[in-house]
Amino acid sequence: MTLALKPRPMSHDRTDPEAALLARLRAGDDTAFDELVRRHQEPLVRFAQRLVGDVDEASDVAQETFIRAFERIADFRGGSTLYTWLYRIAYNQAISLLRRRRVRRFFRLDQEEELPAGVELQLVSGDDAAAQIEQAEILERIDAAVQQLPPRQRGIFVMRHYEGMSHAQIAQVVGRSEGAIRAGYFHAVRKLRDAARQAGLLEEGETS
Amino acid sequence: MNSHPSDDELLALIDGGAKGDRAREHLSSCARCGERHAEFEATLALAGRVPEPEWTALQGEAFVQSTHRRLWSSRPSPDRRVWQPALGGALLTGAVAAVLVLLMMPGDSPPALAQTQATAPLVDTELAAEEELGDEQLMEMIETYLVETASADELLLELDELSDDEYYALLEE
Repeated sequence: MTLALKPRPMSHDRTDPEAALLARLRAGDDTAFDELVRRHQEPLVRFAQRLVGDVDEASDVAQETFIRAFERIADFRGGSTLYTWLYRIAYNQAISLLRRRRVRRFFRLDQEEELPAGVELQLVSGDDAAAQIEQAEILERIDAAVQQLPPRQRGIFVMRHYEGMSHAQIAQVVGRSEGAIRAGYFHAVRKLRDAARQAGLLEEGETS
Repeated sequence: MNSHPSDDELLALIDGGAKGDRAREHLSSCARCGERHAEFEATLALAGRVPEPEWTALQGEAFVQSTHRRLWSSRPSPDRRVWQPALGGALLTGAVAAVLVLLMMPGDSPPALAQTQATAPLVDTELAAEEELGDEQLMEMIETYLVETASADELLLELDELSDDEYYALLEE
């Protein structure tokens, strides 16, 4: 884990880089858009990829996020950091994409997404290469289990576990109470625990 | 302590919530709950070891360029913002003048507008609609399916399609 977010209170001080960038964006400075993208693209694409699974779709979500943010910069009131606001747009974009994907899948318009085929989980003692491959398979399976979480739970889990966001920050992104976010996170962890159990990933020695 | 802590209490202990205090005390004397707690910790540890998606500097630069192009392809550039309205006005004036000249000419009538439109390339509206499927349309699609198949439970489970209000209200209970 993880990228820890470092939330800062919103400032209108022009010496604050974020406030200065915001002022340029609001003034319609074209070069400010590229700077916004440069500054925030890496965490946003990674966040989107954790949510949607595919790097091309994640890039698409992130691009759309930046474009929407630029076009709606007048709507940004400064109630949160610019960063949190971008996450909010990206989260909504990704959830929307995941829902469409689930509908298509339900109607059999897409291929079924399946967990990787079963693997033997006993570690081979003394054989580092084989053990490494099996460890990679274990991680692939737990990642697949994360990808199987329902969209909203996946979003909350990714923000909490991988992005290191607090419940309060996630509540800002999702627009819900901290209690609901905490409950959603716990739901997600329970599901992952069940999936890990079912896949035999929690047997003694598998997590070392 | 008599009752075993709930899963939420065990998770609150791991997550750092105040609700975990009772679980902490309980764990010192209950091996069974200790195993439940260890399972949650192991699950989170496994998930934490999943490698971060790769994003190289090269990918980053290409992303900046393509995002820039995507933004400005749907918006006129600063230069075009100046001359485009003037050019548009000139083209419109020319088109009106041409139509007037055609109407004033004796003999052949100008081609009908409908005919012109019929030969224009068609936009793939079906594909566009699919890409632009909003939440409301999505719900309509689902409701239609529910009415036609009467398999609501299966569909709701599959789609996780409670409204946000219903979903978070359930979580807050």
